[in-house]
Amino acid sequence: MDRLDDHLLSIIFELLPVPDIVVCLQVNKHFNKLIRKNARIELSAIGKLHAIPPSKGSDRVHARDEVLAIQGLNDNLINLRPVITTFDYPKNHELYMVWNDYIITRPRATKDDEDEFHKTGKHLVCTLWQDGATRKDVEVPFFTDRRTLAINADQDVLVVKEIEQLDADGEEFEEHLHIFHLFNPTTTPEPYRASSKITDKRLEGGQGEQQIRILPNGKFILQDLDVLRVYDWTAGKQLARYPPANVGCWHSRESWVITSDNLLVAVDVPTIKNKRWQRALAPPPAQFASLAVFDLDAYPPPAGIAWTPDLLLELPVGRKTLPSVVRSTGSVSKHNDRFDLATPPFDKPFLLQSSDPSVIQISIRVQLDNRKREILKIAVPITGLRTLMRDHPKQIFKSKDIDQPEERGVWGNFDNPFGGMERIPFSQWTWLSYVSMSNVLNPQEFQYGWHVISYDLDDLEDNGRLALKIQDYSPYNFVKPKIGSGEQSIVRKYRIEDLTKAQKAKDSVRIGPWRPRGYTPLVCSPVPRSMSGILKIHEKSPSCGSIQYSGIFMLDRYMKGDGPMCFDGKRLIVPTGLGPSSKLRRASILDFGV
Amino acid sequence: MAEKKQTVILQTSDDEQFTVEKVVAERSAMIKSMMEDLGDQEGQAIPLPNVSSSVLTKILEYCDHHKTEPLPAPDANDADDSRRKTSEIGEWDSRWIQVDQEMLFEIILAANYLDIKPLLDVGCKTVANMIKGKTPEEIRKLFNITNDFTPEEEEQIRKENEWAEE
Repeated sequence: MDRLDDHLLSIIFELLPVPDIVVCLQVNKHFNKLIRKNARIELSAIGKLHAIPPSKGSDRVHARDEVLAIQGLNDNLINLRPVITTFDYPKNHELYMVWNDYIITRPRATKDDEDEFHKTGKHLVCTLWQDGATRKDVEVPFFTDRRTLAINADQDVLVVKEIEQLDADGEEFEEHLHIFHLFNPTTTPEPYRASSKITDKRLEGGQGEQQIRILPNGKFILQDLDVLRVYDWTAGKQLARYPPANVGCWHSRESWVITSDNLLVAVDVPTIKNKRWQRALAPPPAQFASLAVFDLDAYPPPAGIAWTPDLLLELPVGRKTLPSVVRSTGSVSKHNDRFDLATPPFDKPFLLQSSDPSVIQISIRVQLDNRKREILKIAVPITGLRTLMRDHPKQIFKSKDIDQPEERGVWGNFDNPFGGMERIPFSQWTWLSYVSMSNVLNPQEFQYGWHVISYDLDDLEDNGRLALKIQDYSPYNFVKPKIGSGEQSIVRKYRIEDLTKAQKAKDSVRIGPWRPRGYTPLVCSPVPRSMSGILKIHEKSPSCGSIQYSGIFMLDRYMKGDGPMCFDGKRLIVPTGLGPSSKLRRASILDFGV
Repeated sequence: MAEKKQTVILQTSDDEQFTVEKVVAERSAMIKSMMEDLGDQEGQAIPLPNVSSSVLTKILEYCDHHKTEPLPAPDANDADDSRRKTSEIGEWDSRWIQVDQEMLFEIILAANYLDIKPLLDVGCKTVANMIKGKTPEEIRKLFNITNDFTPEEEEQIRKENEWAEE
């Protein structure tokens, strides 16, 4: 063995699973030193740590896929630098979104759009560019407002909403939801009329801000004021409406998420009638916020049973719980008397939106003293929610138990839908959550499975500085199953010093998997980079942790064009000015490979 | 017009000469670049001062078996990670690599020297497989390694790494 040099030994160690690497640390001093000093082995080990399967609470987590994704991520962190390519698109278009291999642009709004539609009977909603070059125009046979369109190239689906005015006064509307396939063999996708054209007479007045969100499981959701409507576009029908018709509003607005295993998770903040607050025209203090979890598979509930969440969790926003939770994150010194958490959070708690989350991240803005505002973040794995659902059976309310028995299926009452329901106190579920503080007050965040990617948009737009952070909430960081007993034990040991060593990983240019035409890798400069381990929240009940990776990129020389930029947390597309001809614009694509 | 098979002469550390088909020798990125440097100098032997004839015989067996496969890209240093990750070794390769430990290390050293990436992977994976599932003591015994830790140091390392134990 001593004939093999350090380089060859390193290759061998890299091939080993984590438990064997740990064994090799104990063989002799040479092995130990070699493994510890090699950042690549460390990163490889960190990647493999995630191979420890998630808690056995659920059979719905695709552990293997998670592990593959995470390993890829950690490998790329060695070379956390963007690969830069360029992309040219028509001058009259603007960047709309990035979706996997697709860049989607749409025409800039012009007055001629409607005229053009009346001439041709076709309205161009967007253009898909695959590999930055192959082009496909997506047109619909009606004129539509741009806000009401949603695309999911993975599922080959485009949802467009059309509003039809039924009377001259503009009082009555009818709404049509159209499903199109993006990749039909014909140039123009045909509406999926046969089974999926959905017409739903509007129940709520006005044309407020609406949002269509396509979910990964053949469903989409239309959010309309305070009501959520869930559709199955493959079956062409409406599945659910929350809350049920005519019985009140959903007070959480945008704070809801649907997981791929069909849980609807939402923040509920009851309206508290408080004259003092009403006078001040301020929002009511969110003292009674809860996290409501519904199992969509159980929809609709049997007749005579009220619509109640399967799980109602107390969020730590009260005057008693909030100070202790914030203090437990360690972001406030024990001797800081100016830290006054008698003040409730100044805003409603909100959930990070994600199309397929593995973890739910709840954010609560708090004021640490008169000046400093921060965000308290609580992350809960979905497997944990499933565990809680098992341990806390749903409270069944018969209609007669409810205040207004004449309205079957009522949620408590209008202002406080779950008023009669028992909430699980935060102290009883804190063990499976990860609590931390963030000092970026207005971060842009994206979530992919267990990873939350965030950056400060202002910093990017004003200074061309992209400080990218990846918060990794992987199962290992939450709970580790105890082999043998079947119970979950808690693991919180990290080797922080090893993680910080990894930041010295040598620089090199990453060769990205996605190489559009005209591929010319460039290196962005300068790129300081850091990794830090974050752990333990409660001294006495250290339940889980999270690892944060970060990289800072100076992008000012790419930020010269006008128009919106797109970022999906993995690739940033910025307009950089005019293209090679007067009809084209050019954008730079920065692929961070995370 | 049957073309004569192009050959190259390789000279080992113990001065033995091997006449080898070019396609076989080209498995070694190092020999390939040397052949390019030498150009048309027919009959010129390429010296391999770090490889013995017994090891070269074994390695040529490998190269001959794999001669029809595409060569890995010369700059694929990072990209071959994925290839390296899969811990499986091909059926033929695993039979071929069943050699004593001394020979195994010689093969790895030669594969590294001759720059035959797939072979280096096979060798390293084989050693990794030998390590897997063993205790520190078993690994020391297997590779004849002296334990230079004090009992206290050993206990300390063990404690630090409890988290990874299943």
